[in-house]
Amino acid sequence: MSVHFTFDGHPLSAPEGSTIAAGLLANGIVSWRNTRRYGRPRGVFCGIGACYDCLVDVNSATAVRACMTRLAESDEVRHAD
Amino acid sequence: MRTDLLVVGAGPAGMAAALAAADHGVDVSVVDSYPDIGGQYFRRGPGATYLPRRLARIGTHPRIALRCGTSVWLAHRDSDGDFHCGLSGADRITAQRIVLATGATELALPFPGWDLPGVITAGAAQALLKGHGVAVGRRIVVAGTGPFLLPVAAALRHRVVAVLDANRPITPGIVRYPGRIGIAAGYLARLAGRMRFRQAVIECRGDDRVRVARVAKVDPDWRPIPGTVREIAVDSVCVSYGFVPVLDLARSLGCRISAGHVWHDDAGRTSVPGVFVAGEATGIGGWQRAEAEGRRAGLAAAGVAPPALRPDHFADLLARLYPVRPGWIDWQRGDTIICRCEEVPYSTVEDAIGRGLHTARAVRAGTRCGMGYCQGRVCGPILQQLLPGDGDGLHGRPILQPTALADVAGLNRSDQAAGRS
Repeated sequence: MSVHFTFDGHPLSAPEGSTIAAGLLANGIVSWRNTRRYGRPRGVFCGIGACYDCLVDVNSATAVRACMTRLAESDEVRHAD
Repeated sequence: MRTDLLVVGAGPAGMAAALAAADHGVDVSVVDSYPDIGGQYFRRGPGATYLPRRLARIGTHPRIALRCGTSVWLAHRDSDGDFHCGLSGADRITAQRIVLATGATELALPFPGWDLPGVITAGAAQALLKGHGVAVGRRIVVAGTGPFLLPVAAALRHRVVAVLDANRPITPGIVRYPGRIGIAAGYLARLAGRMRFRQAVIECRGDDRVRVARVAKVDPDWRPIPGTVREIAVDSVCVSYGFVPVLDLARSLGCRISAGHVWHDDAGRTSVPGVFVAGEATGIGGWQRAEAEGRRAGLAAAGVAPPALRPDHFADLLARLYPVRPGWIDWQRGDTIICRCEEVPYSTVEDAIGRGLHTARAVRAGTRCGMGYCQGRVCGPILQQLLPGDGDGLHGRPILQPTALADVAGLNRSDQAAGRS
């Protein structure tokens, strides 16, 4: 079973149960945030919820850890700044 | 909400603790910040064997309430000895006893370009593969030190171009663990000549993701040997330099910390009455030891005398075999980011220490290193190694996790609802 979601408006899908990070990586997307000071691209780093590098915006929530949050059907995932 | 026993962490240690206590009639609540039980070792994934039956029964045990996807962000012990914890989602729980099974995080050492997308910890690569069947890249270098490099590289072996351990771990002591040697030999056979010792990734280059790993031979102190640098085209680098016990909650509760882990007696009791500890928070020892310690802590928390554990010196042996050597400082450039959250460069940290800021907290206050989202979880252990002397680390945070103000405000609401405003 697949879960359908969007990233910055683009429709994507991933296996059900995927975290946001796994779903984005499975679609070839490696970064979804830019740092505040130097604008550097960031994605997954520690993968277990410690480093907060993989923050992403989902629906009405901001700064969600992509590695700790499962995708839900019709999630609107957005690049975080 | 009230519970007899709160278990923090649903990995092998936490699950075993909860089951041991619940089997003796104790009502247990288990919280874990990940949406599933299992911890880092047991991950529900596509086609993967998941929990062994002895642990899987945690899902249906009538005395165990599982609360996954829940973080403890505040904890204190009142004068009656009860523990009050703030949970994510504007919730709270009161417990008579606590088992800390908070596990460990990976130690990643910095180098120029370590914050490029595609550079991830070996643990992250394994979690993505085990939990989701997602490989992080097509041309991967695995680098760092320690036995954990091997299973990660072996699992990704069709995509791994090199595995680099900066140490050269050869010791007569290892022959006391023939089983472990056999496991390592199996991994090495699958990696077919791609394993190198005394080599390290000293820089990564790229644009929107990592493209090139610069690899050097290193001397026994990990200083790059001039003239040995080569470039490897990659789309991912997986790094691991060991593990660091997660101690925030233990510190917040006032548990004594000794040699980087939670001090405990031979029943898993910490220095604070009513607080028990198990698993990697007691020192890095792997999942089997974690499970055994969990059972011990759960029994002790239930008031049952636990059986003695066989002493396991393997963890001590690993720490001796795979130390972090000081030459990694030579990999740094002035503009290498040390604090990934606040983007504090190495030169700023070096200047601060040179100006006489000799504790991690002073450097943090002077440079913002460790002041960002992760609260020094990544750069704290790095900063500690840059400082003269042992020091005290970046800790003492009253709020243990980045927490929504609505959750903090929620504590007040639940106080009012209970007539305690």
